Amino acid sequence: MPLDSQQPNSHCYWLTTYSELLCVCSHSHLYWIPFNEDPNPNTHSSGPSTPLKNQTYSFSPSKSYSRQSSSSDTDLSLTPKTGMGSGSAGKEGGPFKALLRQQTQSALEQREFPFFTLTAFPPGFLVHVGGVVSARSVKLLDRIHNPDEPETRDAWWAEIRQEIKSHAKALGCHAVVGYSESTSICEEVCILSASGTAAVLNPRFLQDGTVEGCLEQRLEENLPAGCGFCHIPYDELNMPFPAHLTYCYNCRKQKVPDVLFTTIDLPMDAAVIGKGCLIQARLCRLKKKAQAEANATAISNLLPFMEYEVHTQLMNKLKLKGMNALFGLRIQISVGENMLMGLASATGVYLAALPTPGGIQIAGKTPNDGSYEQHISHMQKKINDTIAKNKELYEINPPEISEEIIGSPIPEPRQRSRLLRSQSESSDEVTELDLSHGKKDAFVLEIDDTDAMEDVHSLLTDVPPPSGFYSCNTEIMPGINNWTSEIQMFTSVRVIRLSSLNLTNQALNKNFNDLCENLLKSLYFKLRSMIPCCLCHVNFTVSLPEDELIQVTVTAVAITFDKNQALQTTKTHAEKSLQRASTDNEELLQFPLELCSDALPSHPFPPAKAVTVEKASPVGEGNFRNRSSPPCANSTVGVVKMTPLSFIPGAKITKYLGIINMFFIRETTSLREEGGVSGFLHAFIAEVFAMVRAHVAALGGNAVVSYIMKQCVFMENPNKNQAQCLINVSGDAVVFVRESELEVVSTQQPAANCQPSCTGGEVTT
Amino acid sequence: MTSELDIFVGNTTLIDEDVYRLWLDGYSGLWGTVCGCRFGGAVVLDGRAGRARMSDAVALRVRSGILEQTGATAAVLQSDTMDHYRTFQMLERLLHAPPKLLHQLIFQIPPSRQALLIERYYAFDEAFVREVLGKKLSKGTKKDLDDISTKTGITLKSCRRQFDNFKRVFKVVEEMRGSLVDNIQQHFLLSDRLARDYAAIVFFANNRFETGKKKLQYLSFGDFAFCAELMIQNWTLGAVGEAPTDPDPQADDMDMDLDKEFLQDLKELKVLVADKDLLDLHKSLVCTALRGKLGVFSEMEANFKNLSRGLVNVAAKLTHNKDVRDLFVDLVEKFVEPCRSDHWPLNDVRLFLNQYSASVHSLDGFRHQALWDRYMGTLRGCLLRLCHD
Repeated sequence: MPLDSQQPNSHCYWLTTYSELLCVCSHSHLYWIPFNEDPNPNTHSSGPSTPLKNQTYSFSPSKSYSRQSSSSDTDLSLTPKTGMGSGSAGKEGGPFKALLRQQTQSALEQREFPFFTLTAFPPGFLVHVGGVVSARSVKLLDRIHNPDEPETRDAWWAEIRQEIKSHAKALGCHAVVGYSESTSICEEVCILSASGTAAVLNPRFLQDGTVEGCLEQRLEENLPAGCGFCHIPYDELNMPFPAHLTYCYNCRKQKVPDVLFTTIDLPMDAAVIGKGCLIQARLCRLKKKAQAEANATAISNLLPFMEYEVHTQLMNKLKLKGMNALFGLRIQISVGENMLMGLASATGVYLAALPTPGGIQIAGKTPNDGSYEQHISHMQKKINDTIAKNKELYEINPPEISEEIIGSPIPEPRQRSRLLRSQSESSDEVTELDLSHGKKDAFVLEIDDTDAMEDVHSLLTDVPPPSGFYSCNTEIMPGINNWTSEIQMFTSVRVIRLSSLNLTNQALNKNFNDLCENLLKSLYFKLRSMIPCCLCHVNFTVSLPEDELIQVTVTAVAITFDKNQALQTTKTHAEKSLQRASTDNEELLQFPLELCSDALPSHPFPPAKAVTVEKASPVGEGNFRNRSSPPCANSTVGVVKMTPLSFIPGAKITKYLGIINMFFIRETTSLREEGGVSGFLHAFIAEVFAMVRAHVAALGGNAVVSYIMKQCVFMENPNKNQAQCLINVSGDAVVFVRESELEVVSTQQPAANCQPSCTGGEVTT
Repeated sequence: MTSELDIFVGNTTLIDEDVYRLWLDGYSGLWGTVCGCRFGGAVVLDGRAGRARMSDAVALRVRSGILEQTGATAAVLQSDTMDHYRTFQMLERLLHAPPKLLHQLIFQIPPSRQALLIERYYAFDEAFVREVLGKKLSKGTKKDLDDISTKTGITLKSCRRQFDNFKRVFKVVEEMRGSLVDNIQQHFLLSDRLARDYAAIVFFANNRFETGKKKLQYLSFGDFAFCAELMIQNWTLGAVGEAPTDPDPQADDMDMDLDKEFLQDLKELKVLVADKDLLDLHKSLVCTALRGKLGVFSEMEANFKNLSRGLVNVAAKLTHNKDVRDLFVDLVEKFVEPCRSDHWPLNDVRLFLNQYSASVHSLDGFRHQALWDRYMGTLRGCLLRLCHD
């Protein structure tokens, strides 16, 4: 294993040669794993025969299983099993595809194996997207011999990354984008999770050369705009898993899956119909309290079922919304003393390239019972109504396309006989069609036990946001382009205590569901003055700080948009975004790295206009006497904006001032006096915001972008009147100028705009 | 499932005006017990809550129909209310010194919202201010707030806030030189209107004018504030522009205390009623000028000596602190009540007072014209304001 000898701390390795691709977000790292070209799966993921396993207990599912589980996102959507594909797709593809693949492959081989944690890319960078790949592993921390040394941990992560890599390869992809890793620790048990989106990248971007060159080339190539990334990267005759393919509804040339799950943001040029919405799957599972290996085994046994259920929920909710793709998917599994929590958040959209999703059909197990039948049909009606309502709400009106153009999908040999089955829906026009055709196949939910009943109920309990509100967990909401400059970033924390007696999985699920739903409802209520607005980058974090406590932390930004211009054509949007991307590339990506020494003094501080926009009180300003007025009575504190997004609507970022990464620990021994836990944490978070703002202001900035609260660990001991909290936040300090003021600034001081690129040039030479 | 912790913090601090008003009015944000009786039906609106688990503030918000407008639940409302209440509690110490609110870094609040926070925090209830106007802003008075609360129906919490505001403003400007209104405006960033009201409150508290007597009950705070402004403009040290040249620390506060010398001099006016010839001459001058112009001429003629005696004696008595305090009582007793019993129209009162003060200039034997003008000029304005039902 060359891993450790080459790179002692390889698990978070920064690749500086690609700075032009990295740059924008502080939390976008490019992982770089030295990849063994001839991977022997057994070394990494087999049972306890490897030397590693002698030291550490590891639940690493067998290769065949894990591939299946990690691809289950697509698996679920896809109709009858055709058996596992070989995964070595590409040889039989079209000549262009093969060529492209070769190029990519060589480019990637040259660069070894890239994992991109970026979620947004320049247009043309993503050639194909295969789907979500993920891997999890349960480890025991107390089995590490020398915890101070990173070797064991590195080996663990390397193992997981290898697995991710092989999943991506099975999907015919060379790279993983939108990649992220996370851990959840309870006592000595640790769950390591990694997920990303398998993708085929444009080789030109990976070769040496400027981004602009690639952009030009891309335009010359005339790749299908808006649907290219949806086309399957794998070979349709030799698929890695059973898939249900149709010809792309956009270009009609290539095959697309019927559903697409990804961890990345919606590509800027993607053709989308209607608006998107936040979709969450929530799940709790009770687990017996246990120690060490027994505990790890229990968790390991639960995990596959949880993953499966989370995906089922996601798929059902997606269908209920009448949508066909998920972006920004983030599945978080948290481990506690006596339970496991799963929370998946994603943004559902309707991709124009993908087929219209079928409905959801409920099937009862005992069809003889009359009243039961009635109940079933009632529920079926409710579901159908909900789908219709959602389509209206999210403005999903895809154009009708006749069957002939689409062509026949891949034949499906047999029906699946699991909880979820695919069936043909016999709608009026297509009655004569073969069952195996299954163009508009419905999802069948068989409610044969109480669990399934609960599931169907919970599907219907999710209340849509009030009118005028939209929400998503991606950077921007598809279908809304006209943001105003009014933004409100916020953090909300809730902790609930479960009544410990007689907790069942159902009760637990309901509690957790209510917690999340109420939290969202509260947000909608609090921000009602901003309507029409969209909650963007909604980021839920779940933790189980104690036996009966569930903590949910949400950070997001609410952005008001102009309702009157809400409908813009996608084309102009795409053009706009292209422009944005290109200007970004030219002016912003090469920001100077040595800021502190030279750049700041030479460069004027933030354009004064941006800082002074919202200052000064109207209260009796004119009445101040100079005699004893406070020193800065006329210049109140400058406004510092904060946003988890990488941009500020209606403004242009003129300068990046560097990463802010701050840790705060606060402790109190007078909890009651400070207003209890809520008072304590409220004041603390307000102060954290204030310190971040002050820090940015001190650097000469007027905004924080890509803001993220990475940690919020809260512990209390009410009996001792004590509480502690640790918070870690990070983001990029920037200077922005309002677009309305930009012209004034640029005419007044033309130097201000060209300076960053000049300085950048100096640094790179 | 019980909620242990529930917070919302925005980068820009959210301020809900309605909740702010409830908080200022002293309604409890915590699970209340009194709401059950006070707000009757509102408590059980949320079926799931079942029990009367709703605070006063939330119950009031429910009654405003906000749930129907927004489709929210009572639990959401409770959570929202608590968030706001916590924010306001944290802001309260800053509101005690408003310039601090402008310069603090913890809460990012747009300037217009800051102004609103300050203005509303320092706003007061008419009913409350009438109760404490002219009283010493001391611990003793604070103890009476219970009774005032019961009497006015304003919550004790709100009474305390208003009382503390008065006291705080008083303490800050007490030792200051210069214009009272300007000082208040500068240190509390209040609007002009509110700053003037506070100037009146401080002026009354400092001079301890009696305003609580039964016969003064018909007067509003506005009436007193009007008089206070006139008195500040004309009867204080600051009024005559005698900026003290020597930095005497014992010097009276320019706008808050009445000009002692002026009060002493007012004794000289006594001659107007003590000298019978002067009094008769004064009367004949006034009567000649007003004959045919007054609807109540005969009553005026009959009462002239009494009224004049009353007004001049009030002036002569102002040397004693005790009598200064009773100024308004005396004015009402000696002038307003006789006029009212004879049903003088307001216009007649104005004509009479104008002629009454102007005629003195024609009295050859009277040497204190300037003093008379300084006294009557203000008094005329005050009396006109005090003459209503």
